[in-house]
Amino acid sequence: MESVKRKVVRERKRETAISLGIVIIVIIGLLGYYHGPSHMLSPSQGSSASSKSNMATVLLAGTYPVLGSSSAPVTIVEFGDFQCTTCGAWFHSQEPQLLQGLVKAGRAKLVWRDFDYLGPDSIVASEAAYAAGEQGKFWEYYDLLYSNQGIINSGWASRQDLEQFASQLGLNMMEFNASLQSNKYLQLVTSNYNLGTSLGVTSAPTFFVIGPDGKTITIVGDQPYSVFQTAVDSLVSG
Amino acid sequence: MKTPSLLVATILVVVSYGLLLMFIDQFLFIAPYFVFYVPLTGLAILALDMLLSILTGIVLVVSLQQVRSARCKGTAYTGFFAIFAALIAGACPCYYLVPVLTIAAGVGGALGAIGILLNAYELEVKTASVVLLLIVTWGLERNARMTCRLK
Repeated sequence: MESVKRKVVRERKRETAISLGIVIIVIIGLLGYYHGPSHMLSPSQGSSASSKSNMATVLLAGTYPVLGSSSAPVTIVEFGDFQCTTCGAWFHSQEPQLLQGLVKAGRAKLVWRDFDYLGPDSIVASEAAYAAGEQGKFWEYYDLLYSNQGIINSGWASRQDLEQFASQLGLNMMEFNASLQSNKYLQLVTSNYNLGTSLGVTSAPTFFVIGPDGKTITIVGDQPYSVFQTAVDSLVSG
Repeated sequence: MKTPSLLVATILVVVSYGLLLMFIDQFLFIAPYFVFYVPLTGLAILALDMLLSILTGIVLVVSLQQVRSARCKGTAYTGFFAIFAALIAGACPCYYLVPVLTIAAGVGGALGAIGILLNAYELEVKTASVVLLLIVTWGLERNARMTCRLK
């Protein structure tokens, strides 16, 4: 009778251990799935030096807005969506420090690539920013969009609002409207999105910090300025 | 929580679940460097995350225990219901995966709309989850007392 009781107790302990094991495996699996693609791009994953250079070449090919000195040794490529709230949070909390500590100091330059995954308003907002860029005001327009962010696809980035932002910046409205109506940047917006997905971008903001030798460090999410500082330091010091 | 094994099991679930939530909510980063960072605007979400993990841990372990030691059908049903409720409440942060799935399936669509809606009402969704877990905890407590009375 006693041995039967012990057997039951042992059986129950085993069941509990198995159940807990399953819970832990599911949690680890979710973690891996959620951040899997970004890990593939991280230098710590052991990708070869040539593939890192290839990634840098792909990231820096074509046309894109740049903020900072062209001679800065490090390039930070931001994949963002003007409607994404996490991008907005990063813009408000971390970007001022990054601009002050790295871009204005000549240590890094910031490159914008849109990753418009949140719907039609995101695409129009990007097109409008590029249209402002024609008049040399891309970054000012970028600031205005992030500063006026509303609920996703609620109409805060309607054509009317976009025109109002352009007007606030004193842009030539005829030129701006003509550019926006022509949809001439739609292809760029689409190709940037495709570029992002091909590099494993699954959420915004995602940053690629590219060193002088093409070595790349991926930073996903609203990460603090200290992370960017450490990444730049490690890339510059080799 | 009378036996140490139940306590250990609860702590394990709370810690694992809490880490998962902090990771999903971008308070904890593991790449490129291990960083724990909570912006001032994220304090309310962090508090809800901690509450959710603690309640999920208690509900899951206690309900599993009740199902396993059930002497009658009613007790077992309550335990099963609690597990189901804990999973529903606990599954709420998985909406973060919706945008990822949206990208996999192409921009837009119903998945994207659900993701956007849940993202916009994150505080409300998490508060509702906490309330659901509190009700379940109360139900489990009452269930345990009823079982004791029967004995």
